[in-house]
Parts: sequence; structure tokens; C-alpha cells
Amino acid sequence: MADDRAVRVGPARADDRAVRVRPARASDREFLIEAILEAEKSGSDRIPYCAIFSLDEAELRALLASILDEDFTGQELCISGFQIGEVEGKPAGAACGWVEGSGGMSSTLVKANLLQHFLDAERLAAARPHLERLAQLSLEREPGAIQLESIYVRPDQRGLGLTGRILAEQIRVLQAEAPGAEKAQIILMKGNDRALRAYRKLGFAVTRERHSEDPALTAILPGATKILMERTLC
Amino acid sequence: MTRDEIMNALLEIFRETFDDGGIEISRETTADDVDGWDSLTHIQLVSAVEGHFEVRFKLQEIMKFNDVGDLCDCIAKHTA
Repeated sequence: MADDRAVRVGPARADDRAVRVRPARASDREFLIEAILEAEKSGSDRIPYCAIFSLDEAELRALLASILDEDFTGQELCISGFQIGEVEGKPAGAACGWVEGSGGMSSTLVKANLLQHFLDAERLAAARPHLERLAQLSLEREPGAIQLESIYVRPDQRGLGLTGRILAEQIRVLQAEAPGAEKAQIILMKGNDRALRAYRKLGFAVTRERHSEDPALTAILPGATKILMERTLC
Repeated sequence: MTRDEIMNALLEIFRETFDDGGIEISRETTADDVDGWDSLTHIQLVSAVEGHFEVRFKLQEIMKFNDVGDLCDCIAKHTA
């Protein structure tokens, strides 16, 4: 598990004296579940996990809690992969990060192992047609590149520059672990304009898009187009 | 079961999972070597292996499967 070290990042301003970024810890689990769910919604009211795996929100929260407790690195459902942005001592934002494939297995397969382990055979069988369709929007993460996922700031704490601070700290920490990492990548739904603008401001540019007109797919996702954004690292 | 017997059974499971009767595997085969090895086929593969050999892998075991040889050895341990 990550240590409890907190860092202040970015220039000090009169309104940011109580803002800090720190590694997530086990006691942040409920906030991280909120962050994952809100990031999944991508500005909509749809949670793809629920539709794909036939789960209601309470069941999904329980599943995420079980997966987070395992704390397997190298994918986005991992407590020690998160940095937390705090305002006045309370979690206000979060983002997960990892170096793709650093553990010898792609994040896709690590997450598949977790889902296969925690979901029953019936739900996995029911998810199969959805997962087949999802392949239409699949964007490959580059091995060795820093991945940023589940990026979220509570609505009442937006405008403080928290996203930039959390991502800067994620990149700093992951570059220390993998000095050869040359780029950072973010995958998101195209309709999430607020997030898209924020990442552009932070130096990310869209490098790939995958689009689908499949109505069965767009019925379970917040949008019809997935995009990959990248930023070259110094 | 011997490791050869396990590898032969795995070959049939791979051919069925990836819907490719011509697929060949060895102990060194990894996900990168097999066309179509994505999250869905991975879930199907692990489920099929567990069902066929009547084993339930621990998460810590699955996460260490770097190649088919690791999978074979783990099955051998469970079925010994």
C-alpha cells in the first residue's frame, strides 16, 4: 500500500493553502468507488459496468470494494495506484495511474482476471455479447506508457486546478518508477467535453479515435466514440 | 496428470476458446502470440480451464501466469 506522504504541487495561491495531493490509502476506498463510478459515467447517468455485467449500483459498489481490497497494481481498480486531491483535509478529487504492462501483463488482462475471479459464471456469460461489441471501441494502451484513469473531481471543488495537480503528481511518481516512460495516455469518451478541455489545457492531444454506430453498444455507454489522448513527457 | 496430458488438454481448450482449430501452443506461448487474446477470450479461457480441470485458481496465482507453462504448472499443482 502507498505511504502517507503528502506533497504540495504547483504554485501557491491565496485560495489553495488547504489543497494537497497524497497517495490513496485503504480508508479512501468509498471515495475511490465514487470516483470510479463518476468517471465511468463520463458526464452521463450511465454506468457501463452495470449494464455489461447485469449489476445494480449496490452490487457494483460491492464488487469494486472487493477488487480494490485486493490492490492489484497495473490497472485502474487499485487503491495504491490512486493519488487523492484533498481540500481542507477532505478528499475532493482522485486519479489512478500505472505504467502499462510493467508487471508483465497488460492492464486489460489484469482487469479480466479480477472480473473473472469475482463475478459468477452466469453474469460472465451474460456479459459476453456486450464485451464482444465493446471490442469495436477498443483502444490499445502502449506498453511502457503512463496510463491515467478514473480521473474525478467533486463538482463543488472544481475550478481549483485540482485535476492538473493530481495528474502532475501521478506523472511525477510514475516517472520516478519508470524513468524511460516517454508519454502519458488517457482514454475517455468523446462526449465528455469538460474533461477533454481540461486534458487539452494540461498538454494532452487526441491521437486516436474509435467510433461505433451499433445501437446496442451506444445504449450501454455514455457515448459512441472513444478517444485516446497523449502527452509527451520530458 | 502429467504435464504433457495437461498441455494436450489445454491445446483443445485454446482451439475451442479462440475458435481456431489450427492454433498451436507451447509452454512459452503468451497472450501476445495468439491473435484475438483480449479481455473476453481471457475470461473465457480461464473459466474453461477451471471448468475442465475442476480447479479454482487463487487470484495471486492467475496474476502470475506469464505464459502457458505457468498455467500448466499451476494446474499440475492443483490436480496432483
